[in-house]
Amino acid sequence: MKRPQRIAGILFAGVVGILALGLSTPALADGEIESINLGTFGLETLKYAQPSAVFRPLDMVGARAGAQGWAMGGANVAGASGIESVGWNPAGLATLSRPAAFADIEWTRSSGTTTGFPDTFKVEGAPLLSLRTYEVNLGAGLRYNMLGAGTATQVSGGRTLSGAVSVRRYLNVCYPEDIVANMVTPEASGFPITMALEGEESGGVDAIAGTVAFDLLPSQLSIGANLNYLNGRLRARNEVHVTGAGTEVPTSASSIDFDYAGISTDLGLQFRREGLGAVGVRFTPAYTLEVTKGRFSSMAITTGEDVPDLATYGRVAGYDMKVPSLLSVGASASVTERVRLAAEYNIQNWSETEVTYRDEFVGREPDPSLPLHDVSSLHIGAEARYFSFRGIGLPVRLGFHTGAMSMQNLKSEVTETVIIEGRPTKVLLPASEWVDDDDVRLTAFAFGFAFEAKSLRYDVSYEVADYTFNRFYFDIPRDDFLNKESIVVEIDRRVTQLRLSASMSF
Amino acid sequence: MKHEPLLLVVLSSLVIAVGCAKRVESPDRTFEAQQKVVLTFRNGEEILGRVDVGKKVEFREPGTRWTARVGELTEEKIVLTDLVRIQESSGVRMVVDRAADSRMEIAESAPDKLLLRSDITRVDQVRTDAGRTLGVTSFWTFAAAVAVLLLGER
Repeated sequence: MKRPQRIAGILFAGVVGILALGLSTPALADGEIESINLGTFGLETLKYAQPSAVFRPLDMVGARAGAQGWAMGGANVAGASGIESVGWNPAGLATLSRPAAFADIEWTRSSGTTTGFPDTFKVEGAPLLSLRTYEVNLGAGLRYNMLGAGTATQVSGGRTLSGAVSVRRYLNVCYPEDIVANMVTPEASGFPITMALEGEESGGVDAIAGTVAFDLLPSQLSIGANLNYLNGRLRARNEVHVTGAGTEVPTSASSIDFDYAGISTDLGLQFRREGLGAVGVRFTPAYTLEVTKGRFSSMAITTGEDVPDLATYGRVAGYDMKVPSLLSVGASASVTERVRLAAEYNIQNWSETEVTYRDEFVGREPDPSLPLHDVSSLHIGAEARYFSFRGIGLPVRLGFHTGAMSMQNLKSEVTETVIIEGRPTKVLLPASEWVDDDDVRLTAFAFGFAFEAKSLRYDVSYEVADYTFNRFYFDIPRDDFLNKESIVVEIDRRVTQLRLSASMSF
Repeated sequence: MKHEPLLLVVLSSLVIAVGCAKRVESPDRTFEAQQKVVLTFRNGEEILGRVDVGKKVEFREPGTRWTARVGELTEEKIVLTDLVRIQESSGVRMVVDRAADSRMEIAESAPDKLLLRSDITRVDQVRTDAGRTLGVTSFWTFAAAVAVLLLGER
């Protein structure tokens, strides 16, 4: 009976270690709760507690809703039309001739491989575990992108004045990751143990928008603008499950919350020539996002003797984030009556993001920037309209895009060796020295199709994107139990996204 | 009120179904009593509904709409009785005049409406547009699912 007891000991220690964040606790009797208030702290501290909460992409380009555009690789600023254009280029709303409604959702999942993780997992006083696999994947999920409706009216000179109201995803901040480590105990006949850190996140920065577009030259030159009331939230929950020997250790959990608010505008221009093509420009001036109600908490439930349940909590200081401007320029050309090509270039200098704290806090010096890189991306796509069935058009689309992700990448080595008590010891570098100068580059291929009936259109797109980046082992920079040597692992990730849009005119 | 959501779905379906009706012209200007039809007369008057004795129909004159009951139906004529003038505003029907009541008060004021079948210039059968109904239903179902996802995040 000794073996299960020993394994259970390992598991309990694991759960405590994962969320204790290196904080030492006095021994208490079983069933008691040790509560630690971290007070108010800044993002610098959060980098040490849960790096993935800070080292994550912020994305306005990928948040644009519409499977038609994404099936063409995201090259849609010139060709965007109807309600869908609100997210791409508000000037495209001027193509609306009748009342219409639009809805869009997406489903995301990921797969990948991880390299650089150690072969073994060592816990003091327990047998050595052999680490067979270590995976870090994005949590799969379905989420809304946009819901909107609009109408148009003819004004003098055959010009069109269009208006729309919508709710849409404006800035992606969600990035839920699951970590699964499969281990075996070589000393105990290959006994399997699985440690899973399941990340579940919801929310983002949404825009409740009013859009107006106007034809300066009928059916040729149009301008448009969105006024966005931004609001949203991020709710991140991490749960730890450790299973083995038919035993499941009581689940531990942590959470991070943020609320967002602000106002922004998007300006657009589109010039179209029937049968030839179009050019389009969209510009979003820099805006300020208030980030408030930041909270961090963790609860480690244990059953071991003399080990307390550990509750850690604190408040992340509120701050204003100045989001840099976004510029999109693009063109589309009708090669033949049935084939259209499109290209688009986006640029957003995320490194210029400024953080100004609203609350005072103690601890690490506030950093006025976020670990973000400048982003530029190139998108190209094609659409062919050769197929139809009983009056239903069936256009097919292909696309490709490449570019950088906004998050800075971790270096593969974030320690330096110093001599402590006469022995060379690896010491974690300060957070400001963790990041690499190289971008996280992304390459994506997309295809899609549509059903176009008289007043109803369904668009589908399927995209596969690949990129490689680094993460701390178990998402902890330094921990006596999980990441004693501050190991950084490399992740080759493949993200697949299925988008579905529907638009209807009345 | 636990049946409220179901009621909402049924009402929505009815609205969608009515909204997706289409008119198909009958080339020989004939109609069956069981069919929902629109009869158009020479002077612009219309009867909408199932034209059979005792059935409730809608009668339209230019500028005025009435609900009525088919009192008599022969090879030569259609007589409408119990005419009630209605006005529709923002989807709410209001009874603004009750022809039957005035008949009671003013006696023989010719409340019934006599229409000659020889004056019928066009007969349209009212059918459900299955394709459009399917399309509209699928769109609103999808939009509702997106709204649920949106609200679910909040």
